[in-house]
Amino acid sequence: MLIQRISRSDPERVFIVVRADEAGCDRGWTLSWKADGTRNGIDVLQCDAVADIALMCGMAHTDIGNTDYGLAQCYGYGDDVVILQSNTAYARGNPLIFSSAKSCWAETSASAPNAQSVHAQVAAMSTLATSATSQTNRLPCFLRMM
Amino acid sequence: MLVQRISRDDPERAFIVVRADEAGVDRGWTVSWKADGTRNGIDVLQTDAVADIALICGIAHTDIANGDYGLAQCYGYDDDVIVLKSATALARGNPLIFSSLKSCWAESSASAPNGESIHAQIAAMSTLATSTGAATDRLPCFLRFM
Repeated sequence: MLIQRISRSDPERVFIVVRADEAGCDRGWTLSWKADGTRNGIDVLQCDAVADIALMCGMAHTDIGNTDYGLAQCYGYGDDVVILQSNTAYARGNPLIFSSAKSCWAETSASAPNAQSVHAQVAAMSTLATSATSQTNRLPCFLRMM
Repeated sequence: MLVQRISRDDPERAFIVVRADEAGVDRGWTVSWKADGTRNGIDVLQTDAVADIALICGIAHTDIANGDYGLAQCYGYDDDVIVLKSATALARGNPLIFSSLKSCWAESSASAPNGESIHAQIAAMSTLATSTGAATDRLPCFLRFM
């Protein structure tokens, strides 16, 4: 695990070391533990199935080739999280939900924070305009996956 | 807090140092902060009451005798978490809920993942067969107590 030393100029971030066990574990995409009994807690897959959601462990910090090791960010400010851009705009502070449409994070008015303790895994840290067609894009977000 | 150095061979894990303030704080059992004003944030009890659930801080890494100090795992892959073995099987990726039946983690179809951002404190990283009678067992899990 990589935890940076105290710094006033860099956002606080935490990374874990993971091994991609398939292609597609690219920068900004969400990763989940593979959990097949071999290298448990080390091997990851791109999060693209319902069963993966509870095993999310972070965002790929760089493109990680199949069977290569790399870093996944599990806490702090991530400036290039892959999200779904659709006909709903993003506002700063929006808690995001995981969308099966494109296997990435998406805005939802249904999960807007109220008086309850919202512990969103990912929250928007920037705005994003709407798009006439649903497509992926990248957005600065706060990650809380530890 | 103990955070391991970078390693490709070992799963990422984080531990906290705690003091058991009762007997029964044994390996694999869930522990909660005691929070009675004396050694707050240090003393733990076995999680066995509703009031303990929001104060869950980890899983005992070894047996910790009453009055002794030891490690509790608060993040990462743990291969021996005490869970409830019952008439419902556990599958990879199941988010677990805390069961008052045996003071341990259990499967819940009600909390099955959907499109929302589920921030499960514990998710199964292996399968577990059913049992005709409710009993405890050990299961590899992903911990997220930080």
